[in-house]
Amino acid sequence: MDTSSIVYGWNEVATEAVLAVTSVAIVALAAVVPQQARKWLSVLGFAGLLGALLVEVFYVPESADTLFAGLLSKDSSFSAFAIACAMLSTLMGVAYFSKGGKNRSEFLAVLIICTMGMILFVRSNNLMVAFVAFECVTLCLYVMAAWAHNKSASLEAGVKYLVISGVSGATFLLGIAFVYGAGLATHIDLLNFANFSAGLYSPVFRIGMVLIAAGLLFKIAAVPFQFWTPDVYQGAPTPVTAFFAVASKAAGIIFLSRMCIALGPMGDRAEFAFSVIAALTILVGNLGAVTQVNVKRLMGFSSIANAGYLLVLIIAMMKLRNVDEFYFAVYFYIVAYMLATYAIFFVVNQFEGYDDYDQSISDYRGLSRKSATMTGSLVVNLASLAGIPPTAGFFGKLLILIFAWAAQMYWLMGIMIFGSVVSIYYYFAWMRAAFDTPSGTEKEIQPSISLLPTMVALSILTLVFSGVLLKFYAV
Amino acid sequence: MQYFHSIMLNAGVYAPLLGAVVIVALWTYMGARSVRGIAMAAASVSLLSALSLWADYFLELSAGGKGVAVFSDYMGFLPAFGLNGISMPMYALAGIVGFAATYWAVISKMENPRLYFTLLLFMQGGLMGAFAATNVLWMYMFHEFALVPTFIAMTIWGGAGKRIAAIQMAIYLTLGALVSLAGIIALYMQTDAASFEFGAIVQAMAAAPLDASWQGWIFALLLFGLGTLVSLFPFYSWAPRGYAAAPTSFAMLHAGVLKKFGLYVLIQVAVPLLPVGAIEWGWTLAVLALFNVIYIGLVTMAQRDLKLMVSYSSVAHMGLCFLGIASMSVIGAGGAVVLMFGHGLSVALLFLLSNVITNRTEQWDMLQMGGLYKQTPVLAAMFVMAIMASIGLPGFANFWGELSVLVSLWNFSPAICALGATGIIISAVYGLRAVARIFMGEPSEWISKRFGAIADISVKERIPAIILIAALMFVGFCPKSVTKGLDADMKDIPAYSESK
Repeated sequence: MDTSSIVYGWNEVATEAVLAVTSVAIVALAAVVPQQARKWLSVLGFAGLLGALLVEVFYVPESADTLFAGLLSKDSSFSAFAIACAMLSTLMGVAYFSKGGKNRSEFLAVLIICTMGMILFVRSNNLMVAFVAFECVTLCLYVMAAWAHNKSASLEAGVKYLVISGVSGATFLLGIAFVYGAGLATHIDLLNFANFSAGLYSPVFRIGMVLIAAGLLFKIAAVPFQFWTPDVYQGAPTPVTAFFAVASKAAGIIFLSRMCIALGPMGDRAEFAFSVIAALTILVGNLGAVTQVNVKRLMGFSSIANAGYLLVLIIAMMKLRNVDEFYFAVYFYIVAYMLATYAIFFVVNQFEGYDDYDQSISDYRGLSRKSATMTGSLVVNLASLAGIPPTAGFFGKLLILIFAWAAQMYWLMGIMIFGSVVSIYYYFAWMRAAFDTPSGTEKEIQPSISLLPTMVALSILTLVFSGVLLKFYAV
Repeated sequence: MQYFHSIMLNAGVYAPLLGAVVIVALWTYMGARSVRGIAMAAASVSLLSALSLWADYFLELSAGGKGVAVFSDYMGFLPAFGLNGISMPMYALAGIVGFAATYWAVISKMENPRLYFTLLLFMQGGLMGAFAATNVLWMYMFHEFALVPTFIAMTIWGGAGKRIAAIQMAIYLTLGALVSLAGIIALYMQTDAASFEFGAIVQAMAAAPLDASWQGWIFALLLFGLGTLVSLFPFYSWAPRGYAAAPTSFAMLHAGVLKKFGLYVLIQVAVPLLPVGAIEWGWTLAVLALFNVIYIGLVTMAQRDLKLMVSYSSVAHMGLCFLGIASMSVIGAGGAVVLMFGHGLSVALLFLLSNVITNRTEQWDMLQMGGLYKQTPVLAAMFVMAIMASIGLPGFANFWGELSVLVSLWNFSPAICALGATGIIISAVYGLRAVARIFMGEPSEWISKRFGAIADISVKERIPAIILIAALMFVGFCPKSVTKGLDADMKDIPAYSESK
């Protein structure tokens, strides 16, 4: 490659630049700002994220996919999504740190770098760039999972995620080696998505793709790589758990679907394997959640189930090749999932103590008498996760079912319906707890007044977000 | 006139929903009196909407008009609403029972009235919308509005065994709803319709009819999905326990109105669009429905608990409605609609009166009652009327429904007709036995201790009962008010007018 011909479109990475600068500024300021004033760094972090979001939304990219020698694409929807997740986690972090969490400023810096890595990961057009960004994200997530490092649960979560993500990173890298090895040329370009079709009929290339897919399935917590999910979700601090559940999973899903689109006809061969994985993921997630009493573990299993639903969508897209409709559906689903999941974790975060790894459903007994706002948010968003109209979650599932029908995947629809019916049991059990008579042993709530508006806003969005769909689909 | 219709229809659906939103928005400022006022006002708007549209619809038909009552499609954003001969009685039913249920809640004492009325109004708005919507997906969604409110209401204000009953009901109803949703999606996708709008699906099917095997599959999805919502045998086990444990107003709305939704969609959407599928599954449906009539009827006879008896009887009566659909004729399906209307009113009345009775006896076991007639003559008279309506005696709306269904069944199969008719005998047995056990004979040991303190039904409590009885008798004496619209619309549907 002739390096002099590379077009460095620095403007196109302005969002990432804003994030990086914010992150560095927070670390630098933390060194000089006195301890009492550090809570204002949250404001700085939030402002930085907001700035990045504004850049992302208002900056219109000029050139197409030729940036940095074609290493980056201009995928912008996910960037906005990831930044929104980071903003919500930052807000949740305000409550977390005010209740006794340690090292606020470093946390913000890591969170923002993680967001930046995710954006690059999803934007990358080249497996090598993707791997670097992937590892950057993994490293940050591992550090954040172990943030409450004086608590064994959090440490356990961190170590588990470290080991698992190490394995998945290695698998991913091995896959890249195979793909590279299968290449007919030794050029770095061969790792670009655009060149995948050249290697389609080589078995070595296919092995490589399988390994890469396995690495990604770790990331989105699909069977058989789902074991870490409940443990890590339980042990990690709640703002991190929410980030895991939403941003990290969505990044994996979008990247996976971009690869499937790039693979073109080869995707058909993966269809059956993916169908089995999706079905098992739905079953394991939903059936596993039935016996859970710990709310964060329950959310972990619920996120496994949701990964399964999203996989169904990807399989349908591989068969139908309707990329535009697919992106609409997948973003609709993950935004609906983000609203519901974050709102629920906001509720989880409103209990006393920053360490809520042992919060169980029975702690919610009598919640309706203590806080109507929290109860309302819980009910609306659990209903959304369970897929009850008129919440956004229902429309997300409806879109997936429509896609599945169009792709003639009737048995997967059956599995999805079965999973959704099972999910009623545990979501409604949680909902019911809020209306039960308290027994006096519940954890006290410690509502953070400044965060209630966010929680309420998320709940209202969950209710009215489907208006977007009505506009597009004229249902 | 078009404007008037449109406004009334939207008001009927959105008033309860708006009431719920107002209560939630002003939560901390809401006292027990103000929520009751809001709920009463919203339910009155729905009742007024239902009655005025019904009257207007009937007058227009009598004057020789087309009778397609209303269409409103604001901004292409809110769902489109409209009423025809099939949905008009159901919409009226939702308005009337909704008003009676809300009134009953307003005069009862309860903990946390804010939440109670929020849930009740939300459910009521969903019910009005489910029958008013012309979009199949919106019908489904409005129906689902009831799921969470009923679950929460049962958890808080429910009776014995509420925890199991509530979760069982939620799971069964979700299963039924999702299976029928798959059917709705199938209908939309296989016909390649432009939207979920009923008219659009009809248009698409006229352009490219569905082949017989698809019709059979899609009808099966709709039949068993919706059948679960209507407690078709063998998917009924959620219903009796659920109704027995639900608070009275919710039981009235659920058993009286919500349960009719599945039958309504079958009559309004499934059979007209999928006549071949309906014929294919007709016999299966008829046999399952006979289980409802006879087997559940016998189970009802064995009940000692008053609320369980009423709940089981409501499951048993659904059998006759299904039989009317299976006959696939104007008179059968039309009769099913009349029966749904009558049964909705009579079962709501029975739940209401059972609550009045058990409030006085502090006991649900009918064997522990007896001789109440002396203390409560008016209550007894009302209960007898409710039982008579539920059996299907002349003078009440149910009579015309059962009569038409049985007449149409003769053409379908004389054997099924004969077996179906035993349902009337069975319902007479358990109905009259309940009257005898509660009101006649000697007071039991339990009841004689408090016999003197038992007062007759109060004037306040009579009002909702009288509304329900009046509606039952109005249609009983003037069945044309319902059947005229049914005749006019069903004659145009080939599935009903041509098959037999």
